[in-house]
Amino acid sequence: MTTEIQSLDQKPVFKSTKWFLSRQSNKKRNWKSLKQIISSEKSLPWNENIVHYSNINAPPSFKPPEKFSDLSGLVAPYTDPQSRLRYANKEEYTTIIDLPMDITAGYLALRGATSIVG
Amino acid sequence: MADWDSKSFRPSRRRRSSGSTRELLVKQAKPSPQLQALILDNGAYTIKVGYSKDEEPRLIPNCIMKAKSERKRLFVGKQIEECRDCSGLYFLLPCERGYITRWEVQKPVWDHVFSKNVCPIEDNPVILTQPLFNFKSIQDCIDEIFFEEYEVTNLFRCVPTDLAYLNYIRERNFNKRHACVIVDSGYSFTHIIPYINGSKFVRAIRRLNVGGKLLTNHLKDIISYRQYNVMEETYVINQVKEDTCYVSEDVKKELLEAAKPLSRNSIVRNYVLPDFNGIRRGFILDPNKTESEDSYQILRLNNERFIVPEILFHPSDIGMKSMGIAEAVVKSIMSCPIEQRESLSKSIILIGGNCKFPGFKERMYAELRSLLPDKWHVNVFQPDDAATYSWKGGNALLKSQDFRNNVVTKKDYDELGSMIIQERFNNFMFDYRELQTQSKPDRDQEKFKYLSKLKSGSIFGKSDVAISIENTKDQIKVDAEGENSNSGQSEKDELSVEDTGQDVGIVKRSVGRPGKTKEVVEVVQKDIKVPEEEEENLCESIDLFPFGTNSYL
Repeated sequence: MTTEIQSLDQKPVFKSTKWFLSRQSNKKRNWKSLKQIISSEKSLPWNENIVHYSNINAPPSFKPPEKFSDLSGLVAPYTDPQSRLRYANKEEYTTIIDLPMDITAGYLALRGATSIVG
Repeated sequence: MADWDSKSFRPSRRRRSSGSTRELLVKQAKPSPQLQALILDNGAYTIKVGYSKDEEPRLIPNCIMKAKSERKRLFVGKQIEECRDCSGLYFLLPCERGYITRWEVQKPVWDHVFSKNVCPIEDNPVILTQPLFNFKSIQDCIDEIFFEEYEVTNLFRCVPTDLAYLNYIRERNFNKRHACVIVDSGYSFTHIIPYINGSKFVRAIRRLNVGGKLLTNHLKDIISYRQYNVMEETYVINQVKEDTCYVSEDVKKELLEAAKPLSRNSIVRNYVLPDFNGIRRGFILDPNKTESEDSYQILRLNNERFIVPEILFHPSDIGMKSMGIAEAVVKSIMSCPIEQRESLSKSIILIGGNCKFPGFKERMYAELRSLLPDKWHVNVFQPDDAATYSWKGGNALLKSQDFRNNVVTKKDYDELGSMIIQERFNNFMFDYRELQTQSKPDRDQEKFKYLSKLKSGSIFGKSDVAISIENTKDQIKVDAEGENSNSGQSEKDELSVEDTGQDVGIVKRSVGRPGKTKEVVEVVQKDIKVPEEEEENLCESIDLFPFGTNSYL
């Protein structure tokens, strides 16, 4: 009897003997998406010397991007001012002027030229 | 694994207790044949897994797939080989831009990986890779899953490039301080990490958000606009990319070649798409054989073959505001300490599955050669097994002392809590000290300090300030006016000249009177010629004395 009390005394008081880890929890957890994680990380008060995920992005290039035809991928010296599609020769131009709006928008989105300014 | 002793991992504790156990430590440091671990390179596209004794890892797709032909079944990892019809495969990926966020997908894949017939953990220590700057919440989750669900005895997490670095210096027998740049181009992103003195130089790390996934999706998009709608055939198009794409050395020249008619065109390829009846995997139709079977569905690839990998070198082609991979390597090298740059350019290592395009290494060399100074040697090294190179470094890590010092046991996890053990993982081969040596105060700041010092001495705006300029070198004449002369019983003044080696000294003198003390601050200029005359001669500074010094005298 006395030995039992002694052994109990040696255990830290903050550790409950009855506590156990429940392995199977059926509760469906909602995970944060990466965007949420990044934005919560960005809001932390970072020292400017500390390097973390958001500031190791490669900076923009100094070189201007090359111009390729949207239809064929060839070097495109021309741009259609109306649809802003690039084309390489007159055959491509004849197809461009007949293209419906949604297709031209899709072509522009393909090379990331959807902004109104650019 | 009965003789595996988890205590032997932490010899540093013993070292503190007594010095006599040093022989024991040396003995432990030797690689014992029993020491084995499970190495898991958790790529966003493929998991590379195997025991340290294995020569080659097993490659398991890190995703769950749904097929159109068998709607009721989910294919986890390697089970996709059992699927008859891989058209219209739908992927559930655990990673978003390389970071695990969908645990409900990752967990079943890991369950599959650690299942009996693949790679059961059994009491082996686990070496796990994670992306650079992994987020805290994700790390917490990894630790929880491994220690609490899989109940691993020992866990070690590190960045895949650490393993690649260790593999590289082991292969070449370099010492541990060898400097190199590792370019890891994977499925989600490309990292450029310079290693100096055996640890990552944090300041110069760069990331490009271009990876294999982006290239596959772009190829899928342009084929869908130009030929067939293949928007749902990611699996097939990924194979098309792997089979046909290459990196050209001169894009302009190859584009002219690609514009030629088919008969004289050396770039165009006819790719036979799989129909999952007779053909399981697509292949390039032999260009010499003109006749083909009618049942073949042909995909004609022309300039797409090299325009797609070109995005790696010019992400601005698809509107990404980022520099190309070669430029970023140069940028990274130039952010390193000046004495290391030349040696860094001597060993540039390309790893990751996205480096496997034919011609990638040659193009990297050509671009780097033209961007780096011509006196420097440029060496680009690409292992044959670029995708599994990191995994193979796990074995080198296992034998190193660092592993024993930094591995976390289940007991540590229970006792220390996540903060301490994560610090141990994240500080591995990670040099923060470099940051401090870099930030030196520049001259402008020192000048400013000097000014504020003068201001705190209350030169301006106080009536009792007396400034005297002495022309004699040895004699300091104290100009005491006003109250000082009025005071009848002024004590012997104690002069304390703060001579800091400059020719302007601030003399503080306390004038003692019963009940009232005053500070008289004098700026004494000595007439000593010193080389830094312009900087030190404050009386001639326009900023300090806009109307000349005469008004103060």
